[in-house]
Amino acid sequence: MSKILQAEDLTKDFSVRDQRGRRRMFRAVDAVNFSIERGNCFGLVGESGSGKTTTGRTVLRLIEPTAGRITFDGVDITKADMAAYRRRMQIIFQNPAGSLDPKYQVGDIVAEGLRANRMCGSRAEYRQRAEELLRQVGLFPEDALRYPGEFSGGQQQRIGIARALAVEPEFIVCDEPVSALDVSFQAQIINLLKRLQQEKGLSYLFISHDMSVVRHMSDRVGIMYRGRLLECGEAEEVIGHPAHPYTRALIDAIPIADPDRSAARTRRPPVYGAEEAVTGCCYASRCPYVTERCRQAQPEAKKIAPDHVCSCHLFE
Amino acid sequence: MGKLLEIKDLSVEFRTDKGIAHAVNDVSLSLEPGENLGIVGESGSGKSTLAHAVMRLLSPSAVITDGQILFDGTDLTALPEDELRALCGRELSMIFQDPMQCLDPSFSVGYQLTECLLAHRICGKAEAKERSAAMLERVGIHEAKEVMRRYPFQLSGGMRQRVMIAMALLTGPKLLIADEPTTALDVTIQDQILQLLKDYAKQEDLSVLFITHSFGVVADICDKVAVLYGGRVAEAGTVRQLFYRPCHPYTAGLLNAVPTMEHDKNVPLQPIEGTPVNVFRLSEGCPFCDRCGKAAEICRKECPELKEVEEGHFAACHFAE
Repeated sequence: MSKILQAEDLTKDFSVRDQRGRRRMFRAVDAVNFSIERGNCFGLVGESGSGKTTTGRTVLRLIEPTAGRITFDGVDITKADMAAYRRRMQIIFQNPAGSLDPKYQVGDIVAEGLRANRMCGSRAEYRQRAEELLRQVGLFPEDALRYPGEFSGGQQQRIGIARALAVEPEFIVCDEPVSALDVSFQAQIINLLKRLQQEKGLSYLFISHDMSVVRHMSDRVGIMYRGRLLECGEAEEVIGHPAHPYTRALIDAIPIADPDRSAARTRRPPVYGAEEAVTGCCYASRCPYVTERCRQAQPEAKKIAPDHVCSCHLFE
Repeated sequence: MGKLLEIKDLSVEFRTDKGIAHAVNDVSLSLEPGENLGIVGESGSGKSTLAHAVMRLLSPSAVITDGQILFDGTDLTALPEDELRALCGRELSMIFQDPMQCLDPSFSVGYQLTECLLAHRICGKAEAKERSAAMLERVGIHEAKEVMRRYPFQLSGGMRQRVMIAMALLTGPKLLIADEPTTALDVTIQDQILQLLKDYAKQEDLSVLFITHSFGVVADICDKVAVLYGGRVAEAGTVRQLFYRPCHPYTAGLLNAVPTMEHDKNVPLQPIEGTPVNVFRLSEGCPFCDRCGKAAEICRKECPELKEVEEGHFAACHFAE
């Protein structure tokens, strides 16, 4: 199998102002390394502010990286002209309503990418192709003439998916595609994304804060915290045998929809720490196993199983 | 034991430009002292409208067309404004999904906390400060004195939610209405907030009406649960009854649709097909019949009544047994 995407030491700094109005640098993504095999799904899990969305946008170069290297299908695209790659790399956004232009008919939204890339010969062909795409995502061909506001959240997300699929991409960044949806729609969209992946051999970077959704979708996963990739590897391995204290805390905190098992689980008292910048491990202020070394030195990524890497001093 | 909160045949509709939205229809629920009741539903199911109706926070376009809301025997829907103000914030409090929208950005946390004690004339200024600091410590905020000097924007999302909980609990209410208080929070913080609410409710004999869309949250902190669909109670009972023996196809569907950490990845999830019912155009039949696999002729014609399938377990389905 070949790698469709590889990120090496990917770093992104944003210039922000602190409370006194002074400029300073904020490192949203900090030396992140991961790769995605063709036809696979890589899940990126983390809490809000952990840098997962910035990572997703940076690999598409919707945000320019500060440092590091992005390789797509064997070609270094860190500095390349992206026009040649936009058709092959697409994105699905979290907020379906906000990512669809309310003044465009659904058919035009879906066909916009086709037109930009001159993928069809005639107007009739564009319309036919848009209708076919709508059918593929479970909508009706007649829906092409309606406007986004006439659809429910789940249907709007289907339109977003049809738009991403239109240009026949190989790689799609799914940025929290189901987080804004109701429970009954979530399962519909997850099934749709999975079916499309199998039918078209797509590769996904699947970003979510919901560990159970990521586990269901992904072949490999990465756990992010404050811009750093703390743990990464094969999905069952990482989730079944979490190594990093943060991953363990994250998995323990997932509510279980079963009263007996929910009551039976044990809880560790939370560690409250000051949220200040430290020179050492970014998780040091909340970690129950913290040592002096964690506060001083940043842990290196260490291989602890064939496809399982963890950045923690406990494993050195 | 007397009931703390009893909602009887409540119906609420919104009169809008687009027509009448029947947000809550004929809902009856009750809550004993010290009990936690979860209200589960998707967007548009009427769960927030129900909570707002209890606190009388409905928007002007909403009208309570029928029913009563009895709190400790007093009908809140008929209570004069001044008596309601004396009750709300003191005997019954509410916390919301987004603390940033509920805290005033231009006043310090300390000012806003003491304000609710002072407004209800519960104690003097000095004592109010002390009580507020003690309550902040209790909800897990250390350095309470320091936090009281800060403004809401200087706090993290989890801290803000703790401040709001402290504010709601300061006056020692008997009932807390929690409208999706953890939905906007990260899972690790959500877990801490839920434990906090659960422990506090147990120690102080507080009842919580917990509005959420997550069955995981319900399983964690509730004793009883009601599932709403299209503004109606689809199923209600104890948490164990609903989770282990769901009798309404919608409840069963929701429970199956959520991916769990044990689900076999190669087996597709079982979604509930179709889209939620439009509360502007409710038909005569069961609101769920268009999405239900069991729907028959009777479901389209007649809206099922809630019937008791076992003791304390109710379902509104023609085929429930």
